[in-house]
Amino acid sequence: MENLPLNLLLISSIIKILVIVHMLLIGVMGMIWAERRVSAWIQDRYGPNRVGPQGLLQPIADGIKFLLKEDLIPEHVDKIVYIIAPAIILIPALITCAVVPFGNEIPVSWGGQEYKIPLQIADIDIGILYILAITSLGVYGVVLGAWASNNKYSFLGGLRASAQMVSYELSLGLSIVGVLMLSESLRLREIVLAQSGFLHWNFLTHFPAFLVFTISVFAETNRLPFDLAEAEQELVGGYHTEYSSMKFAMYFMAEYMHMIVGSVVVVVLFLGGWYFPGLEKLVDSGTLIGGVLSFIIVFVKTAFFLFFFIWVRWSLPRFRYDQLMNLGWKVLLPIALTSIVVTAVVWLVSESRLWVGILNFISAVVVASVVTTLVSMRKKTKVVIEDDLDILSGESPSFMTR
Amino acid sequence: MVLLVIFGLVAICSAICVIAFKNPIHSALALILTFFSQAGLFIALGAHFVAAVQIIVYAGAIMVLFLFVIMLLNLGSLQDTVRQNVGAIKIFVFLLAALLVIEGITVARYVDQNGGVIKDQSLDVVIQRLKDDFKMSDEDIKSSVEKLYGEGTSISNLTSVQVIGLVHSEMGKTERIGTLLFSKFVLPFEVTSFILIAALIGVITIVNRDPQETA
Repeated sequence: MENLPLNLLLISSIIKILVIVHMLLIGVMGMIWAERRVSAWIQDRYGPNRVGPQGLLQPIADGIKFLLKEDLIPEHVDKIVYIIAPAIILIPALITCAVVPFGNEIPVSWGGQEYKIPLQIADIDIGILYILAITSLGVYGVVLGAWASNNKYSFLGGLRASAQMVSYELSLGLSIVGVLMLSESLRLREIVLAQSGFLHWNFLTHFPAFLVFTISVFAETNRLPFDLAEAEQELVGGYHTEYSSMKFAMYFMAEYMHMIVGSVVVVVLFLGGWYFPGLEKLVDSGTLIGGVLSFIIVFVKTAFFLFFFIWVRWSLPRFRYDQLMNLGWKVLLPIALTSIVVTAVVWLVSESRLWVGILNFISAVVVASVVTTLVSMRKKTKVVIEDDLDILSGESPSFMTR
Repeated sequence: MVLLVIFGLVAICSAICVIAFKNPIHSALALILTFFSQAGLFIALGAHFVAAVQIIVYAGAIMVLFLFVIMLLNLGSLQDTVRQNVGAIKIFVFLLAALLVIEGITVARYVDQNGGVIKDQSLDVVIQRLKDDFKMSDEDIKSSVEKLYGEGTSISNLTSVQVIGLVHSEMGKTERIGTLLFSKFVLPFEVTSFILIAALIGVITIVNRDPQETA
């Protein structure tokens, strides 16, 4: 990338930016369609199938509806914050994809010479840290929108969202440390290059970390089973109760964009990026076919993961808030921490991915079971204390008889 | 240079906004903007790692907790409480401003006389520092020089400005910061984490007290 001529660098970057941003927007449309059709399929319904073939134009109809609706701004809101909050949630979702590699390199001849253009807008030194930094800003859109709405339900949603996202950000960041240790780089491109060959895919070597990361991505995108910030049965619509028309649509789009970007990051970090068993040589060959194929592989893996997102949403019920906090702090965080220590020690001693994988798995199982036993033991003592308090407050029958 | 001025101005304006706004949430928002422009300043100086950490830690975690607490306590507008002790505040602001001006003049004079930290050092000293502090081999130095200034250039025929550029670009790299943290500065690093652990344990002990004890 360093030795590209300036003109080519500029032109290729602009093309890449345009293509990726539009892919993201079209991807959101595809996701809205897929969510409704897949949920219908899971619940044995038809879903929207009238607008266009198989209902494919339904998202466009939805979009037009959103645009044509009256844009209400309630009297009691904090106007400036209320208006910028949907933009604040959309921007992080859009700019995260600047560092994500969507494929390997494609060759381009320019001025009589061959150059290889990586399918990534910017390959920066801090790569994954940039993604962590930007995704941690997504919570502001939710919290500020909730606060500015000046509505009790929105407010509760915002409080829940801020506590939840700060909690799960920790395990999100810690779970990838093991991956970074083995690929010895923060650059996403090099993390993918370190996974050539199926046995080097990080989800095998770091299976517990993979689970922790995936669950945290669900929590960070506010998807079921972690959508306590919306919780329509309890909080009307949560943080976006007061939002209407296009502003609501921006929240809606941001959720899907976060999902898409999150899925690509999972694919890049854990599922081998553009590698697929048997196709490694072709993908790395640097030919046009290889480049396009690498893009298709990333696309297919991401699509599968997005399907998984929808699948989980329509299969699992929502967590209770204390369950959510317990899972984040008492299960995921210890697993992520042990995975760091185990990976570091085992890799230093044996330098074998097999042992790292096995010991990571065993230690995660041990930690999870020990922690859950400890937590359940603590809960029992708590119940005893509450019984005592009941006696003191005079509600217990034993007090009445005295 | 343009970036430095832009981010610096934004940082100053938003920092003033932090204390000027009446509503605590607006102040917090202005503070977030300040952190962002600081991160921008770091990036303009080539310190990408520090910029990322700045955003992750301050904008991403600490300020979210600030907002959380402000929202939880439901702080209203602070109009009535601030107008106390105006005289004392004026004196304090004056002293602080004077201190800042003196500090600025001293730093500017130091930089003017010494030309930064590495300008007057010989090339051998710089190379030795790169090798000692960053644990770079000859090949590492050669490849980063070629990456910065094109194929075929060697470190011996760089101008002094180019050498400064090389050192700056190396200092910004995550790899070099990691090497420094775990070799030269390992003791301060460990002490810092020890202090943080102590604080963490303290908080847990306070929170975890038996409810019957406090009742």
